[in-house]
This record gives sequence, C-alpha cells and structure tokens, in this order.
Amino acid sequence: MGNWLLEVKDLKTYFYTDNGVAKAVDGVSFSVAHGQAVGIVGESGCGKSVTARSIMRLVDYPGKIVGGQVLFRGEDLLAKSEKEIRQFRGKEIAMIFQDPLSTLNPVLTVGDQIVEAIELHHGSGGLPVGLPLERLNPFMRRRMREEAWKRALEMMEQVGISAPEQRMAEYPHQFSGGMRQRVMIAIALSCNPALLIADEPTTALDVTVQAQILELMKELQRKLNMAVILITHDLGVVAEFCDRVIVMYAGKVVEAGPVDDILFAPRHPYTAGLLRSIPRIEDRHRPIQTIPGMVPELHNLPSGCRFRTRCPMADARCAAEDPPLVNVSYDHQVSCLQAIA
Amino acid sequence: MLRPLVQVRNLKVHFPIKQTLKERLAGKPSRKICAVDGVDLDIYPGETLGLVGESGCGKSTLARALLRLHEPTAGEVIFDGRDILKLSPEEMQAQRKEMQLIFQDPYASLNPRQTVEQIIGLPLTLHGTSPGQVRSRVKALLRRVGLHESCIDRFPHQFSGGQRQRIVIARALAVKPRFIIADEAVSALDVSIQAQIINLLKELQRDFQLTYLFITHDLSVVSYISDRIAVMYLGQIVEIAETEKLFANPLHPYTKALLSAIPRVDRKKRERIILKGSVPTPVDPPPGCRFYSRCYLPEKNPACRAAPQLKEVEQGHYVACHYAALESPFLRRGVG
Repeated sequence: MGNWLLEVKDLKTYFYTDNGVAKAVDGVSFSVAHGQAVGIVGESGCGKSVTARSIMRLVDYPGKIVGGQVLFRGEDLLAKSEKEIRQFRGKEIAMIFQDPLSTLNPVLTVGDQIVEAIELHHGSGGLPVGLPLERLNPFMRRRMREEAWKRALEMMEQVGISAPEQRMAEYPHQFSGGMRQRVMIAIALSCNPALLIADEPTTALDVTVQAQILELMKELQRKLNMAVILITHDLGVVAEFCDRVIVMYAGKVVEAGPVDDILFAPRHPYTAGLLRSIPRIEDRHRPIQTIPGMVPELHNLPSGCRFRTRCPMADARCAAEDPPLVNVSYDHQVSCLQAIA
Repeated sequence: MLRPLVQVRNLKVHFPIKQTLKERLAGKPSRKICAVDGVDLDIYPGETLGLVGESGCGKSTLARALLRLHEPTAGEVIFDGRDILKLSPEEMQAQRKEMQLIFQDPYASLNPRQTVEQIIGLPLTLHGTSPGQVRSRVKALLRRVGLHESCIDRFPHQFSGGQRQRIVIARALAVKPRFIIADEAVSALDVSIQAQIINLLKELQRDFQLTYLFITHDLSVVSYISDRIAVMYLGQIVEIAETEKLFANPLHPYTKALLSAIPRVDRKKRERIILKGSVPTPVDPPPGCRFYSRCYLPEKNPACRAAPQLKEVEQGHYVACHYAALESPFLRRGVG
C-alpha cells in the first residue's frame, strides 16, 4: 500500500497534568491519499487539533506523543530527529490556523514573512536548501532574495490579493481578517506542500468571507493537487469541502467514511446526534433534538465506550467493552457495538 | 394591530474619531464612525426578532444603544410607549429591569471571584428583593435554567461553557424582564451544547412571554429561532421579513449572497454568490446605497448613489434596494 500520502497509525498523545493523564489523542488511525480533502470534525476537546499538531510534531509540554506512527510517504515522522523533521515542516506539510493575526508577526511586513518561508525551504536560484544566509556572499544573497520576492509576488496574486506589490510592504494589522487568512495561505503554499493542514481556517471569519476562502482553498487544492486535512466543528463546511470525514469524540475516531455516507447515513449515534443538533429552518416549531450531557473529562473517562454516558442506545455491553473501529461498508468505519443499521 | 414593545426610530450612533494635532493644524474636517446610521425597527411582544450581519455592521452597537449602554447620537427608542432616551439616569436604572442583555462570552461576563449566589443575587438585591429571599430565589432560577441547586456556592471556573451560559441566562431572568437582547449568546458553544441552550431560550420565552432580539452571525441558528429576521449592512437595515419568507425569497442582493454563502449539510447543489471584497469601513460612508461597492446586480447604476429607503414590497417584507421591488429576473431566481 504505497498509495497513501499520510498514514497515521494508532497515534497516542497524552497530556501529563496535575489532575492526571489526559488522553487527548488515544489510538487514532487514518490515512490521507494524494490530493484528497479529509475533514476531521468533533466538538472542543475531542482531540482534533492535537491530532493535527502531533502530525507536525508540534505538541508542547505537558503534552507528549507516547505511541503510534505517522507515516508520510512511508517515512515515520515520529522517528525523525528534530533537524530532520524541519525538512518536512512547512515544506512538505504546511499548516494554517484559526487566528491569522496571532500567527503573523506584527512587526514584519507581510512580504518579508512570505519571503522568509520561501528562503528557508526553497533554495531558490539553484542554491542549496537550508544554507544559512549569513554564509552566502552578498551577491548570492541578493539574487536569492530577488528570486524569493518574485515567488512571493506570484503567491500573493494566486491567493487573490490585489495590488500585491503595494500590499507586500504593509503590516498584518493593515489587512482585514479574510485578507490575513489569504496571506497565511500564501505562506503555507509558497513551498508547494503535498499536504496542507488547516485548523479551523474559517471559523473566525464572516460567512461571505468564509465562502471566499473555502472557494480559494478548493481552487488551489485542485490546481496544486495537494491533500488537505481540514479541522472544523462546522459540518456545513465539511459538506462543502471534503471528500472524506473523520468524526472524533473524546480522543478517539468514532466514525470515518466518505462525506455523503457520514452526513446522510451516519452509523454512529454520536455522528447522528451531532447532525440532529444543527438548527434547521424546517424544524422551527419543535425543539432541537440534542445530545444530553456533556463531553467527559479526558482524565476521567468512562469505562468501555466513551460515548456511552450520553448515548441513547447504550447497554451493559458498552460499559464492558471498548468498541473497535470496524468496517461496516466499503471505506466506512464505525466504532460502536450498536451501530445504527 | 398589536402595538410593538420596542420601536426604534431613525436611530443613529456615531463615534467621533479623535484628530491628531497635525490634522487639526491642517484644518481637516473631523471624521466619525457611523456604526448605526438611521435604523428603524419594530419588535412585537412575544416575538423573536433575529438581527444578522457581518462583523462591523453595527449589530452589537445597535443592541447596546437600545439599552443606552452607548448613548445614541440621534433618534428614538420607544419601549412600551416611553421614549427611553429621554429618561433620567434614575428612571433609566428602573427601566433596565425590563430589558436585559446576554453576551457571547460567558467567561468574560461572570466575575471569577464571586459565587453563583452573588452573581445571580446582585440584580435581585439591586431591584429590591429582600436579603432573606435572595437565596431561595437564586435556587429557583438555577432549577429553571437546568442547573442543580447545589451549584449555588460554586465559582464560575467550576462550570463548563454551556453551564456558564445558563448562569448568565439565570442572571438576566432574575429581574423578570420582558425584553432580552441576546448578543451572539450561543456562538461560542459547541453544536450539541448550543442546541441545548437554544431549546432553553425557546422554553423560557414560552413560559415567561419574553421578547427576544437575537443577534448573531450564524444564519442556521437565526433561521431556527427567529420569527422575523432583520439583515444589517454597514449601519443600516437592508431587509426585514418573516423567517420563512426571507429564506424562500430574499430580495436584497446582499441578503441573497449572505444566504447562499451558508455552508449547509444538504444534498442539493446550490448556486453560490460569492461577494468580492469585504465590508467597507463605516468611517464617513458615502451617500447612497451602502452596498454599492460590492453589488453584483446588472441593474446597478449611478441612480444607486441616492440612498434607497426601506420599502414594504409585500406584506411585512421590507427591502432597501432600488431594484429589489422591480421584476429583476436576476433577483427572482430563488436561492434554493
């Protein structure tokens, strides 16, 4: 099976806190093919962002990746040294976040920040990658900078920022929220990554701007044949953007499959509950069906199935056994002993 | 005809921009931010009026102006027959009992150093409940919003986001208001918790005959909870209609684009209108239609430089667009 771009196998990321061990990601497995758009959905605290950060090895203390494999083009990223992983981070796998204002450096111009990313990874002008700039002679340095600047201009145009030359000299605070996210996308895509991880990229944006950004991401994804992992809590966004969906709950994958199967024929009671919780205009005159209770605390999980305390279908078996993720139909997996038929 | 509980007439809230010395010396005219610029609105007793719009369109400023948390520059806010902008501070204090506000962020709107009893008890004490009765009233309120009585001595950090929002709702209910403004009250919550809070708000409305002004940018929430919806753009209302009517037949080009942009879990493929650019700045907006710079209508022409008035085009459906009322074939196509 050399077809997968990314294979995550039994990934475990735990947080060692004063209150005990919080199993934020507890045995997550999934795969992403070349050019595929995969959505990871779930509520706050279900481990979707930690999963993404674990792929990039960006988990901070007190978090620790304690087990599993992250195979990128067959190479295990978790086994790499810190120096080796830098060859992947930003170059092969890029990431964008929810809040572009806190990700961009406020005291550097937008142009400088795009150029920085390109120079770091791109060895443009036939120069070797990763060579420290100060070791180059001034002539080479200038040539490299000019090449990078040209590439940055191209990127600004590609993400739909008008008057790029002028805007490259501006600072992040001079950009609107949607424009900042475009800059982030420009930085992320400047090195032609094979995989883009987008963590709630449109959550902070207005609906009309969200539509613009999703459209842009879709277009660039097709053009660059790039795989995307989109992390979101918004099932509507998933419906618009993704080919495949992974539903997470309390650190585990509860259901995974093609987008239409998950959204229109969910098999896990949690997925079904989530879908029913979306307020709809047709249901105005009756109460929304909700999932009772709340997400369990991660360092104090129930035995067996983690969803059983909120599940309408749970019985004694669910308390005793941890349900495995099994295939229910082609490419559709569910982790539930009572999976909806 | 039912008399509106809240009538807003030509309400304006302008914030002057402080000039630099250089600008003053150069004799530049002073500029102002027209956050709310001529809003007319009727809110009927017992209804939920949804107010939608993008960030910076002035919806929160409008909400605050209704409670005089921002002093309006001009206009009238008539609550149950009285113009509250003319009330003295003491009268206004008493008036606030009738109107309460729920904010988006339950973390920020609860004092972390007070217990639930102190938090919910304060409005009770301020509006004349005797100290002996406060505790039992707070307990009753907690039960009403679906929290356990034993929560009464706990602090806000001991609750989850959804529970905190329930405390905020209990505090708003404490003084038995008739009118509640919910400013993005469920936007920060997860879907499953959001649904619980929406159900609670609907239940309370039925039980206490509450009138809601429900402000949000989330169109699926607003479509579910509102009886009527007002769409705001750059300080002005561009369209008001009953919820079903607005979704079935949006007339203003902005409303149309906004509705088509909602990502929906839906098998139907919809035609999507993607607006260019973003909302322009509310600093001294040009006269005429505010939407002019982003309007995509083929009919758009220099006549739009004259400000369109909010006109009733069918029963209860108001639009501020020169062309919405016409048989524009472009606008007549449904959003789906």
